[in-house]
Amino acid sequence: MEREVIKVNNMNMTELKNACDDAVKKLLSQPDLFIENHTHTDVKLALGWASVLIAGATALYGWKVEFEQSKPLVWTGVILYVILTSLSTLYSFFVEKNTVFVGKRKMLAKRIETERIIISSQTDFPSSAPAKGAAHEPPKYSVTLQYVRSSNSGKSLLAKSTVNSVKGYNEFFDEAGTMDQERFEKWLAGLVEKVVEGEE
Amino acid sequence: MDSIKAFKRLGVRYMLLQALNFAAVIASGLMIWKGLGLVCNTESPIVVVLSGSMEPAFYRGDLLFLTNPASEQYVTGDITVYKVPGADIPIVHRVIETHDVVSEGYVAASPLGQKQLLLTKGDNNNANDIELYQGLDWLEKRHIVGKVRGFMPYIGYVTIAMNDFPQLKYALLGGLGLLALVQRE
Amino acid sequence: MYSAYQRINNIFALLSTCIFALLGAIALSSFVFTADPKGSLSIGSLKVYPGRSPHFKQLRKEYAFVNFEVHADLSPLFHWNTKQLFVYLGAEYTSADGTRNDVVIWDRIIRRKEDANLNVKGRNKYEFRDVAVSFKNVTPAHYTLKYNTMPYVGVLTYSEAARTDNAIPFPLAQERV
Repeated sequence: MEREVIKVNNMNMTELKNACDDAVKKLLSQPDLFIENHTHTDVKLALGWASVLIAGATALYGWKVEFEQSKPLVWTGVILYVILTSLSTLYSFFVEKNTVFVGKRKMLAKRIETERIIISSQTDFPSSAPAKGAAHEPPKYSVTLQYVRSSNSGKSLLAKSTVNSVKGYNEFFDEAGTMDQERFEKWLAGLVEKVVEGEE
Repeated sequence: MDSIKAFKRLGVRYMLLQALNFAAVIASGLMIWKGLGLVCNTESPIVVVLSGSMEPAFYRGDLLFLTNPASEQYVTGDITVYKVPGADIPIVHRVIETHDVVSEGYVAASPLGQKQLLLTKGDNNNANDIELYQGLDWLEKRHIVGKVRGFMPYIGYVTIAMNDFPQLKYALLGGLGLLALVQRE
Repeated sequence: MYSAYQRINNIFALLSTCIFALLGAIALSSFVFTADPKGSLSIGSLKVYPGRSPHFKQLRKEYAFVNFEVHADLSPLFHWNTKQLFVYLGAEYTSADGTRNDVVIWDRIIRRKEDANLNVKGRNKYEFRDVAVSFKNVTPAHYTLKYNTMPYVGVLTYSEAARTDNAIPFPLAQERV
């Protein structure tokens, strides 16, 4: 199968991580694997656009109505805006954290079993400058997979496991910044298999 | 063109998210302005000097920070920004006369409830501002946008340049918008 | 540091942070200078004449003419963040109907430290008239010399340099000779 070449500026950590995260989503959300759950994105979209709409309406109102008269409603608008944006920030910080992908699938084996997988990632930077003569340590892609299998709509837990793996970005990107997608997917597929089988 | 491909690949949610990035920047700007206005109790907490009538104190393009606390009377020497009905631009001039009127049939419990008649003048002008009041004899509290509290030179020239050359404004806005849409955080 | 855009962005952000931090420090430094010079103010003569108002042409109003003498050395107010002083002389009195008035009758912009030692014998620069037609029955007026220190960047400050010891009553209007 012909696949799209993914090429990034490999000096830019954000681009490297985004390329890997995108590949994670693409692989895991394949029809025979998991159904992606977009709750995190949807919550942020709802909070974000609600705050933007409130800001727009408040500004328009403040522009149309004379200042002294507009104060009570403008106060309300500004306070609502602050609440919504702080909720959004708190949500990303405490709930979403580094989550990249949340997926679910159902299996019929005697009873309905639900499998949930949560994947989060971050970039690990080398802790300190390399010692003289030692090889330069590259920044690394650190990925964590959490897996839960349950039945009776989540009431009884059947299996739970977590797998973490760290690899240097240099293993997936060449000097020109082209991504070795097959190698990345193979590594990730291995991790998924491991977490599903419940090896600690 | 890479970004268009990315759009297709990532779908509606991704597009909404990118558009939100851009909209959120504008929204936060608007809300900071409005919030500052509420805290300072003035509709425009920051103004740019547009005329030379307060030279050499303020030149065209200087930035002025205003507040208008409800608990303070205006006194002579205050530099006020005022807008009288019928005039299209606010004027920055100094108060040279205050008259706290008590004869209007009642005496207010606090001096702040009193009617105050004000006369202003530009430091650089010889005559007072009566000619600018659009037929009014005195300025009153309700015409005052705020008192000048702080001063920063030159920075306001950006907005004057944007008013004089609208192309610059559109180029700047368009450029920022494009960047926000294309960039991922 | 992976692209020209990012480098320009970083340099610009650093530069503007530095400039604003510097401006902030300069503005705050003004509070270190706490000079509060005082001077003296005396009123030589005070006369009231009837006249026609340039604004209300049909109205005959009374105008006061004040001769004053000011001595004040305001040069301590000049430091590295002083752009100019606005010095003004005001009259405070209460009208017959209870209106409290404060009217600036003379002012001067001082831009250099060398010019800040004021020794002025002068007369009011601006029209001095009451809101009502006449100065009859108004209280005696106190005269004050105040100044506004205007910085190159930062906060505007106000203070009073002198005040007349006793209130000076307005004389009855005399016909112009």
